[in-house]
Amino acid sequence: MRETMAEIGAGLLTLAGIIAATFYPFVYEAKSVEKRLPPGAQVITLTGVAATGTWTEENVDGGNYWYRHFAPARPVLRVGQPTLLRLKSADVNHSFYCPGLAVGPLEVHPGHVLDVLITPIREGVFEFYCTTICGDPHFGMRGQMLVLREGSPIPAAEPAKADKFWQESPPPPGQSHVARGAWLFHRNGCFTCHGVKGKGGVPNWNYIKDTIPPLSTLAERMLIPDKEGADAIVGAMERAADLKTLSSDPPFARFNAFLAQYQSVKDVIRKGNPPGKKDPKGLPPPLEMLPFGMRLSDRDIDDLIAYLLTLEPWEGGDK
Amino acid sequence: MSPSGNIPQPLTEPAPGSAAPPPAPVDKPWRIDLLRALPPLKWLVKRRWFQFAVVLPNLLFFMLFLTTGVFGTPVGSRNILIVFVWIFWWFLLISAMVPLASRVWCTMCPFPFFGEWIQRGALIRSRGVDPKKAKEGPGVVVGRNRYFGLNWRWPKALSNLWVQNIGFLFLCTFSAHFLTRPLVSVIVLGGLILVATVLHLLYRQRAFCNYVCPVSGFLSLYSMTSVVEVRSKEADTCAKCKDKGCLAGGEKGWGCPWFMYPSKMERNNYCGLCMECVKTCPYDNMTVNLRPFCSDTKIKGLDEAWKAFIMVTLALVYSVLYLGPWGFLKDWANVFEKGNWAGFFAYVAGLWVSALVLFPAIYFLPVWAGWRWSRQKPPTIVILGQAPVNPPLKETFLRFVYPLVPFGMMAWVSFSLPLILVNGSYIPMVLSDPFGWGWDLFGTAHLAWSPVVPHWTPYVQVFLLLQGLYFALKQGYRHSVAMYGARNRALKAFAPVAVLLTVIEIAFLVLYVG
Repeated sequence: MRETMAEIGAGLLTLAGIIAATFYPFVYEAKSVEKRLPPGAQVITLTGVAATGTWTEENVDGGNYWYRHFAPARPVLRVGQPTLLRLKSADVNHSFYCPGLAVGPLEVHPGHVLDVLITPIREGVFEFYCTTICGDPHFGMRGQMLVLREGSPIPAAEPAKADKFWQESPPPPGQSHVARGAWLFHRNGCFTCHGVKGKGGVPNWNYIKDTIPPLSTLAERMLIPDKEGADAIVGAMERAADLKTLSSDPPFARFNAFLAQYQSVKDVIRKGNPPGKKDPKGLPPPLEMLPFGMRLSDRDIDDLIAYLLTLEPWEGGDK
Repeated sequence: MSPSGNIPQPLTEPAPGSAAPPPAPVDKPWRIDLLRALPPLKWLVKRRWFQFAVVLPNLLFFMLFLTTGVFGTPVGSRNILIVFVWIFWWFLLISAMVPLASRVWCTMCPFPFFGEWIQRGALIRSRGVDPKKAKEGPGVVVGRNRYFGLNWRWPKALSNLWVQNIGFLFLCTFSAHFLTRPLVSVIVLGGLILVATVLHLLYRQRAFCNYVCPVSGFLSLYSMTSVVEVRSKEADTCAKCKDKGCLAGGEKGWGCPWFMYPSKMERNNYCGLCMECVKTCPYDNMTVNLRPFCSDTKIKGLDEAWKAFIMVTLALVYSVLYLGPWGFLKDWANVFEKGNWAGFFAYVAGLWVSALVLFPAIYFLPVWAGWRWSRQKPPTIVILGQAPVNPPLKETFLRFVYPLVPFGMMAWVSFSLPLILVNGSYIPMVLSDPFGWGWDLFGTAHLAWSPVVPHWTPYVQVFLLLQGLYFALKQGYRHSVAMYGARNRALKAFAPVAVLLTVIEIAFLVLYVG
């Protein structure tokens, strides 16, 4: 009898232990989050996924990280309602920055959780970003937070564009420098800040010029006077000729000044260029021209410039 | 079915299919009877609940780890499953448990828990059977115990380490995945529990542990070095014993689940330290001894020899892969993340051919050379009963493979050392936050990663490797003397193997200290 009782006890202890070890962590987690919440607050968890350059509201865990594609987050907050933002990283170091709501930049380390309690005071659409280079898809790692008045309906989201630019295959060898430059412009996510075909206009919080300047007018800014001049430069680049050799018979006036401009554009791409602040005391602009010297070779940069020079919509020319 | 006609066949030495056992080198090492010296230990291991008490906490941690693997963070260094199993447990197992306590892991292993529970229909008590009432009641009677399940005998052809050898090599091929991906670890570890449970329902006792479990294979080999053993106290007592409770089981305990005949056990290889024989022996003749390092010195079959080859090859390959500067090799092994299938197949082919063909062939050459070099012309008159002048090549090979046991074990300890010293600081972090959900249970979740004495690591590695070489050369030479008698011949026979061992040692040293 004593043995049977011990056996039953051991069986029950085992089953209770297994159930507790398997399920109690979830109860504990729910309680520990609840403890930190002020009355009426909501919880929004944003997890950074470097593999796809996504901040997602979906649950990312050891079981699903490896095969699932996580939808980009579009969190909805309500004016006056406290919200606990739980920032996580599923892989590498990210930085969360939502300047419009004065959150961040906050470093989010893999496997750690960063809790931020915010209470929005005005409605609007606020961009958020990752501001630490976290991989090839980093430049597309941004989203929008919607702050609505209580009771306002949630507007339908635009269908997400699935541009996996970091996965684009390289152009076949032997293709023109301009085509390679176009590929580099897309592959490196330059378009995420400078706009498709370098048209600019992407808003940048507290940036002195408000929006990212276009690159499609780079030729003009580099002192190339007309389409013929641009064609001459691009043609020389396609022939892989040293531009300095054109100095003996310059294709346009102020050619030496152009060469200086060319070098300074290369330097900006190589070394980066921090954005000027509109309000010197305000938060830093989230989008910044980062140094690409480690990612791009000299030839890459030349090809990029060759491509950008073809984007100029010359008066009377093809636009 | 008559219980007496169904007594389990012990895994008598040698293992089926292997050569006749070569005599062990003459040795009279000291032994300390731990159960006599430590009465509380004896009291503990004699309790029926002893094994349950050590397995249960382990099982519950294991269940928690599996849960963290699926629902915790995918970041390996912040998920307790990865950190505890592949950094902490592995180091503890190879560096402390095996050398200091033999197969004590098998005592507490959670893999066979559910299968054994179902098979025995008990967690604590023993289901002893009165021979007169053997036909009554459910289940199958084996020896003097009653079991549930089909209780088939394990196929003779597979009664060796080959399944474990191949299984271990297969798992190790994908190590780059389960060492970093919690989900893959869950699949591997959960899969082992599942396979163990199914096999317990089909086959007798611990067939899974003895013949299938990939961890058990290398534990079996390296437990030979351990300073602890379960043995009978007096051979005479066992010889006179008619009860054979250690084998057949009874009211006090289960017959040896590992198919061993404990009273005749002379090696640690297939003893899971479950302590059933200590409980069942009616004469209190089984005990736990403390003994010198590397006391078991016989490799008994090619399956065991190949286990030794596989382990040394893996230690070398892992040292290159995980501690070396060749990142492209790691990318080859990490195929699911990097997608380089050509590289992965090159890595797989390299690993498998090296472990199963190349290294054994390279090792065979000096064995053969030494064997040829030390040959003598057989006498014209053969005296019956006298050992042959020239030992058979197979015996020489098996004896000279033994040095790879202490050598390989120390290589594994050396390989594992930097893993724990460099990554050990993750342990307190994941203890506080096992899921990576932002908990801080013990206030250690936010400790900074800090490698422990990284500048000392190479020196300790060199010391460990040299220890391994020392034991390898010492034991190899002793085997040679045991076979050849004369020192001159023994030296001749072992010298080529000693040179090869030294070359491999240098390869490890170059890898670790450059």
